[in-house]
Amino acid sequence: MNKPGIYIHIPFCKEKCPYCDFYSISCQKQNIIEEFIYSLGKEIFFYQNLGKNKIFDTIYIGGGSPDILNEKQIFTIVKNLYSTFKFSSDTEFTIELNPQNITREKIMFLKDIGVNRISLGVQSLDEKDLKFLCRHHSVLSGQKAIEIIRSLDMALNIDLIYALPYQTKKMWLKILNDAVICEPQHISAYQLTIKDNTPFGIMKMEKSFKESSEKKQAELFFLTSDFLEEKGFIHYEVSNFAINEKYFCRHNMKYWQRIFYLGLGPSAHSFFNEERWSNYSDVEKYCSLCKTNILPMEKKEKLTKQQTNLEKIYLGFRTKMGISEKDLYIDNTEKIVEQLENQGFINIINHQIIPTKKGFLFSGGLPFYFI
Amino acid sequence: MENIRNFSIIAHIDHGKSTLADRIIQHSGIIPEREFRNQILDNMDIERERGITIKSQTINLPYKAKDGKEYLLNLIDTPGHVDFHYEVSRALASCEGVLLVIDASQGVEAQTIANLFVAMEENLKIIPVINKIDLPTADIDKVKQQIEKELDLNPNDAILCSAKEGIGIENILEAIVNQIPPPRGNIDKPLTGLVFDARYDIFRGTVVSCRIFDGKIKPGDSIIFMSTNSKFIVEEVGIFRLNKVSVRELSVGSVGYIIAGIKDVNEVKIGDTITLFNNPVSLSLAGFRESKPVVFSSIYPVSSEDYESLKDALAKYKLNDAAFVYQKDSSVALGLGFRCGFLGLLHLEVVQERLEKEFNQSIIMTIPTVQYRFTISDGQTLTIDNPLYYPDPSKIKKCEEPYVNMTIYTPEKYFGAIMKMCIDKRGINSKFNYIRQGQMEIHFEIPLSEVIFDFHDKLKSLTQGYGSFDYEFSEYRESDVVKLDILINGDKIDALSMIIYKENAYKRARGVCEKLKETIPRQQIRIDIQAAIGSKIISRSTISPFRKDVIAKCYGGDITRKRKLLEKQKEGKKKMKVVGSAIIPQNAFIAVLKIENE
Repeated sequence: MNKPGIYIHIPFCKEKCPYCDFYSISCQKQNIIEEFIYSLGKEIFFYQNLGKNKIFDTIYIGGGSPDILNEKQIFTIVKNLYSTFKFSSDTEFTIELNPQNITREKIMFLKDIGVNRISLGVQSLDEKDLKFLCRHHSVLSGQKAIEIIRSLDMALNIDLIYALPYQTKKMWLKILNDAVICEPQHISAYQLTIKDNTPFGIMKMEKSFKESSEKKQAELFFLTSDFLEEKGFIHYEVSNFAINEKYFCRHNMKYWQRIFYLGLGPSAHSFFNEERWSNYSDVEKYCSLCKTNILPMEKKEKLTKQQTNLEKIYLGFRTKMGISEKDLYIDNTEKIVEQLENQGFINIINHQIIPTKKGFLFSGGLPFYFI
Repeated sequence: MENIRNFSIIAHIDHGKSTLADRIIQHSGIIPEREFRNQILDNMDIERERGITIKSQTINLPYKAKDGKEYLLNLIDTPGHVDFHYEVSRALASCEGVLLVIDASQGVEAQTIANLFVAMEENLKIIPVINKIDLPTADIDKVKQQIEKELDLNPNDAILCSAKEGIGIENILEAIVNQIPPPRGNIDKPLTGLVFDARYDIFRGTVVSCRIFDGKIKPGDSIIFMSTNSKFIVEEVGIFRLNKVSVRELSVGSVGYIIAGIKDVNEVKIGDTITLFNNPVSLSLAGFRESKPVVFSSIYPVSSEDYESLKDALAKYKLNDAAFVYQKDSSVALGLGFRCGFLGLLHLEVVQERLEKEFNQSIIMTIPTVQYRFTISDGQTLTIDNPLYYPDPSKIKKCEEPYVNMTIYTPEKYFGAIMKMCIDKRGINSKFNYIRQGQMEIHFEIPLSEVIFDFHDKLKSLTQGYGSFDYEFSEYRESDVVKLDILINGDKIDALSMIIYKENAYKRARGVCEKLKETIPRQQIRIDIQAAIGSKIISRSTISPFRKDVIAKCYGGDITRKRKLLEKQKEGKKKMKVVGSAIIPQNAFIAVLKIENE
């Protein structure tokens, strides 16, 4: 269960979405992409020693937009991975795709090279929302993509974004309902979060963009959880739902449960042996370093025991697995636990502190009590 | 004895006392120029920062006068604030004369006069010095007029000087020698020494500063302190240069130090009389008084694990501040701490700042209070200086609170505003008179509790900084007070409780509720703030809760980011108190302290 995973960051997008703050550049120039694929191959190779005697059990290709890559490019990446690292037979292999680029052939190709899970950037099943989010696909193309993936027997996650400024409960409920009808095994429902250095963030600063109220966001959060639970989903992480435990995103679980993962590509983060490191968020720099046989690593830190504790507490409040009582170290833990339980933020089950739905909604603030 | 001159410098805050002292020391040549540090006498950081002297230092200076004779000048420094009236009076009692420093542009102010009166009571020769004559705003003629009319001194005796520029220093030294009389006394009479300061030296124990009025003292002598009747054997006597210089004996007229194996500085009382055990003087020197704290507040460590460290810091601090008293205290909200007594609000602020800056303590102080006297139904009288021990209200027959005689010195155009403040603050029996054209002196009687509550700031802002004040305790008077409690989500925050004049309670309650609302951050639970007298809620405010507090998406990079945020929060948490389920930052307590009675 505690095998490490691999994340690959594809730093290209056709166009940046106005809410996204992940690192990517809008670029479709083949020579740059090729150079990146080559450099990524080098970086994979740099870590061959780290991979020795290890069996990985997840691959996650995200971005950016991995669908920028053609079949040959994806094949090169996967070939490099397979020839450098060992993978378990049940490896979860996810790739993030956008609906507009999905064809039956492409999915069949991906299936052939080992991909068994698609994370589809649907974002909404409402035309107005898609326009608002500046997405380049329609509701119909989204539904079509879902149909293709389902028909080829791939595990499917649908990404949805809610709490758009004008969105009513009714509007959101319809989208959720439509999504459930498509029978995905997994739904990630993210509240629209406005990050500073994004176009939405700038608009917010200039006051031409107004987020929906906290109260509304909270209402929609509970609505989402209640609705999906009623439809048989397990609300296993703040923003993630799956039809059963088998379909929990094994790769993402590594982030939340502090299982090791190797992140490759610009801006990717890695975690191994209580060390965290990250790559430069700069394609050009990344490529030139890799090509000269230098690790494109920007920062690296060894976590202290205290830092490890902080992470356990913080991450513990994000998932249904919660946090073990023995990982809480401050003096008056019992009193605080009792209080938070009375206030409905947590439940105690077998010495494990399990956040409630309300607890999920405050998982950013609860750790403060335990540090 | 004919060649000794004992003098002091008195001034209003900021009129340049310390700079003048530095110049005089510099002129004596006892310090090589390159080692000269500004404001030698104020050797505490905080004093240098605020430009005021709290702890006095004494220094002995050789001076060769124009008459060709060698003199020994003892400059006895005095604390420069209204809280230290008594200490000033004992230092002045050790002198024969004073330099009364007046700022050439500010002119005479309340403390100038207050200090002058003390000097006059001691029958000292007074030499007016007009300082800062180099300033473009200097108005020497006006100050001379004030000296004549307001101080009733001869303006022609005034010496013009700029301590900063080193102008007029020679003239001042000559005036000290020629105008201040030499000390009087009889070397054959029994030893009579006046204690005017005491401080703790980690190697030598208590170092007592004293002035010898009769007789002499030398190592090996058995001495007694007359107020406590405690006996010690003298180990060393000496004079103050930049460092202590031991001498064979201190004889009549001189000023110096005594080391006598006194372990605890608190055994030595300022103003006490020292005499010989075998040949004691029959009467102690007049003017002795035990200095008693009048303002009380509790000090708590922000983080309860720092309690021991705070305890050590207080013990060390106390070594050099006999006027400061403290004992253990505890609060439900803030844990273990100390109840402390101070001579006044400035004294409190000094202690607070020194604990924070010199001793690196992170502390929370509770609302300062005075000492109230309650007569309860069984006829017993209780003296209460801590709201925690407020008596059962149903049993209170009578309450009294301390009053002071207040003197305010102000340009006349602020008279109306000051009178209004005086009435707002329960001042009574006001009297006023013109000291000269445009300048007034206002007297009234006012509860001390009103003085320790934003009086200084308010007066300064009402008078654009020109008003100054001085006060002295007068008596206890009957008053109608209540205990105001603050509750957060139903939990009484005992550290915020206060004893307050009933009519002020409502206004204050509203202020506190608003202030807490401003300073307590929003949390995931609703915070109800209430102010109550007994079980009656008289004011309330609410901090609405967050509806959510979560990052929707959390990947590898976010973990690092969030962890860094938590590390910061963890650091910040040291400055917070978790009370019940509410998180209260330290600055909320401070903000309540600083609240204005608007």
